[in-house]
Amino acid sequence: MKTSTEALADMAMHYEVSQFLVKEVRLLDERKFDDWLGLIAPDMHYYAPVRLARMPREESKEFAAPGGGAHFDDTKEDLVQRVRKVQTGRAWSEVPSSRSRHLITNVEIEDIDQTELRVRSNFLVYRTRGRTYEDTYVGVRHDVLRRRSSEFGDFEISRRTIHLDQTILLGTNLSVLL
Amino acid sequence: MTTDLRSLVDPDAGEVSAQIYVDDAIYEAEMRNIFGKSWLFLAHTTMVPNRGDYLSTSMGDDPVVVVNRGDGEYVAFMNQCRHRGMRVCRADEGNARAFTCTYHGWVYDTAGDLVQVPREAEAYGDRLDKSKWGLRRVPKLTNYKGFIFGNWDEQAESFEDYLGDMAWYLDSFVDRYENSVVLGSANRWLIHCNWKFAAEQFATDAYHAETTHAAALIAQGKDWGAVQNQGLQFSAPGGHGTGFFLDEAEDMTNYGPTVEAYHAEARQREIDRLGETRALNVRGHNTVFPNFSFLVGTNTFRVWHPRGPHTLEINSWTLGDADSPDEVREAVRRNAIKTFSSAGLFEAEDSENWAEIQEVLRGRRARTLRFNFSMGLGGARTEEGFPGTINSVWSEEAGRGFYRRWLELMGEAV
Repeated sequence: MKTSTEALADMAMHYEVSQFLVKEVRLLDERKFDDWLGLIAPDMHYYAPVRLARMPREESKEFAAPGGGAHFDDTKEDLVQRVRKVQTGRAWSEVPSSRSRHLITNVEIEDIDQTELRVRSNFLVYRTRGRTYEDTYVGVRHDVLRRRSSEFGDFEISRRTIHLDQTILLGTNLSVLL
Repeated sequence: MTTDLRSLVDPDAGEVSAQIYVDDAIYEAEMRNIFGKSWLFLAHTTMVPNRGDYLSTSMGDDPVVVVNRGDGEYVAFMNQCRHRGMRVCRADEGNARAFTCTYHGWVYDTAGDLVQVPREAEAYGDRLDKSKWGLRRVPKLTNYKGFIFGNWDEQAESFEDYLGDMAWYLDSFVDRYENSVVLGSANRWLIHCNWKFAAEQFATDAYHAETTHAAALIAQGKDWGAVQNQGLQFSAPGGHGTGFFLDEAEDMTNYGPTVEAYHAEARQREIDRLGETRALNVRGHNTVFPNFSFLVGTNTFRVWHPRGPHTLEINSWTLGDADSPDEVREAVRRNAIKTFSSAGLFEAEDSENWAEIQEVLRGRRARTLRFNFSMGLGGARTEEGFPGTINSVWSEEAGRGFYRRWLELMGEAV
């Protein structure tokens, strides 16, 4: 049984984490990529394994195992390159820029130790570009957040595993971050 | 109304009408005459390593299942129940002893033979000859150095004859390592463009890289123009093509010192297998007609699956050296994904270009444009040490060759 004091502490923690995630995606949508990189830990693993339709008895292998197929399998340096690429102004898949909107919901704090939190959240990323192009990516993020200081919301992301719901991605390219 | 294809595609003049990328009748004819008669990539043996392992794929628009039957035997058959046409295999990959149709329960073994029919005695008595109602097998299958290709045409020439001189160039990829291994399941995504934009580019087009991929090159700290200037392009009567550089060119990747050191050491083994020219220089862009493409070095390889005239489904994988250390294989895999995939630093701009061209081709006047494939016209030659027809890497020799073959298979009119 949880006491009401414990429940209040959970709420405070949930609020802090939710606000962090909301701020994080706002930086992506506002294309403040350098600021976004500031939230990424040096040992970041940014990972989106490919997904397969499997028969029920093989459903545990629905997502590719580590070392297998992936849409993203990035270190922080790889993410820095992605940002650098967009900032050249010559990354034509982002010229003119996509308009993106990241919606983050269903935030659950799964585990907390002294400095790290395992957080899952659902996302819906809507992207439109050009005149009529649009695509939508939906899935779940499994994040590891590391507390940097006692300041409210001062986390960095040290791991993000992205499970997309589409097996064959329906968009032309994933030039936006999830 | 019939369309004279020779009025749309003129390889000798280096002109191709935009109409061929949008026309429904032409697409239908491609499915019959090109995808019904060409050798099409199905799987690598390491994608289905164990007995009973299967993979769903397609040949043109037709769904096909590839199965490892054990003892080196691979089969491929239509993923379509003979009773009412339901898919008998519903998963992308897996391992199975049999395939049971979910509509009426007809059961096929891994060879595609019909082995069980529910209520056979009550429903059919002894009048259903199950031996005649197996899944339709892809009649021609070959395992070329681990790469399985199939052909619907029972009269098709052998895969080696089909490749012709392309075999020498293909081997630079498939025969580079003593043991190759595919590093994981396919990266799959749709691009809203005609399949030929991708296939022809990988056959003939190094030219686009420094414009299209400028940002990706800068992001990776590479100066393409400074290193890659001299190169050759190969074109085959079978429509295949490749282009590569002869400069002392570095790869477009920074693998880091450990991996670079291994690659330097492995290079000698590759030279022993392929000879110095192929090992060091024949490391470029390639298409085996019609829709199998790869990049040597990056080690991405892919199938361009047509999904109607306006949609392309890419299935792409990374090829690794099975005998290399885990760290090396991981670096190669991660780099291939980072550069050439749904989220690839390079690939994103290719898909952007192709999808935008396709969008422009909604216009009826736009479709009457004749694309310029004239680069290097008249420059075809032979070159000591390189099989087949050779031109400069800065040419569209292989593009013209691709469409010459396309025209030959399509016939004169649709």
